[in-house]
Amino acid sequence: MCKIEFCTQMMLSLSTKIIAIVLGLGLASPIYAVEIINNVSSSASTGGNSAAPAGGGQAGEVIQGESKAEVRIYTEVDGEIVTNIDETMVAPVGEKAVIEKNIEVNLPSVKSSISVEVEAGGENSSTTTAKIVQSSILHTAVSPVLAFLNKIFNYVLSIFS
Amino acid sequence: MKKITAVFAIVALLSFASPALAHGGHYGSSDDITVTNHNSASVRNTVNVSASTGGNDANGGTGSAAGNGGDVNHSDDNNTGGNGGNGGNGGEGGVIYTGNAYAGSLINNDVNYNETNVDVDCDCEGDVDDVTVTNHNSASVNNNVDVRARTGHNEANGGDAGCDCVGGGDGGNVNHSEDHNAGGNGGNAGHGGWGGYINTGDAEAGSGIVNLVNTNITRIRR
Repeated sequence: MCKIEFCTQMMLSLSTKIIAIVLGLGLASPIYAVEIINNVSSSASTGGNSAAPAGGGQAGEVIQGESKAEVRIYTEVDGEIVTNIDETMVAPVGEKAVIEKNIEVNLPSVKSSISVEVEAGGENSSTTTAKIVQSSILHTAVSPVLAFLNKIFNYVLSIFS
Repeated sequence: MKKITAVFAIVALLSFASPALAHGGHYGSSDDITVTNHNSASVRNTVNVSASTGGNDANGGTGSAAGNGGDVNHSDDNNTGGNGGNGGNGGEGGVIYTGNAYAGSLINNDVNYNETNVDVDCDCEGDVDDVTVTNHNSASVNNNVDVRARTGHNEANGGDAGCDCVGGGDGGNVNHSEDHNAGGNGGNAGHGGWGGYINTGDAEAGSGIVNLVNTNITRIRR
């Protein structure tokens, strides 16, 4: 058996350890976020040909076909279009057609929740009514969450120190 | 005081880490329906597509050097060395027809698709049913595509003349001979070859990416 003061001290010590463990687990848990990166390069070329004569000779003939580059990028997150690119480039004869796209999409974490409460007004199912209690999409930015967690973590560390 | 604040901080953290707990008020009823979808994904597509019919060579060959005139050695009067032959002409460049080059890439990612259909049986005789559907989505998608089509960089150049010497072959010499002798004339240099003919096909490069990420569809029917 322990004295009350001693037991309290032990429990506090134990609780701080548990807090540290839970906090560590909390930091290790995934943070819901959406990150999409597209790096696309599309190039076409028919140029760089040579039909040159040697000394005293006559030049040849070069006919070059068409150079065409095309890029399409379509990204949809939770039904919302965030990227929609459709580009085509046809280069003048002998030149290169190049399309380069570097797109980075960073969206905050998304938690969508819908809760429906169904109240039965009687035995007949046709009389039941449904009520939407909550229909929300919570947007929580990642960086504030991280900042908040870091703040807490630093604070707890300061307690131990 | 510090420790109390820390406990509050932990409570706040848990509410972030376990959002489902925030809706725990209805868990007590056996008629409640709770659906929770947790998704996490990391998709990486790295594609490099290349098509080419170019880079062909049909260059003319190099001509032969012109011959030198013949010498007259240890001879009497009135001799003439033979003339050197003319140098060969450089070959003509050839003919190049290339086909078309098509390079295409198509990426289609459908990441974290949740379709939840709940049919509430309303023979519940006065009970209250709560339906809660929660979707937690996380995704990281990388697409790196490099598509190239080439039909160019072909060569059909004319060939060089026989040598870098100017004026063809050298004349012949007269050595240890009497009067009125002459060495042969050197041959004429050949001509450089004509350039050839190049006709390239079309080059088309196309890239398509479709990313459908975190699609949540919830239907609750009663």
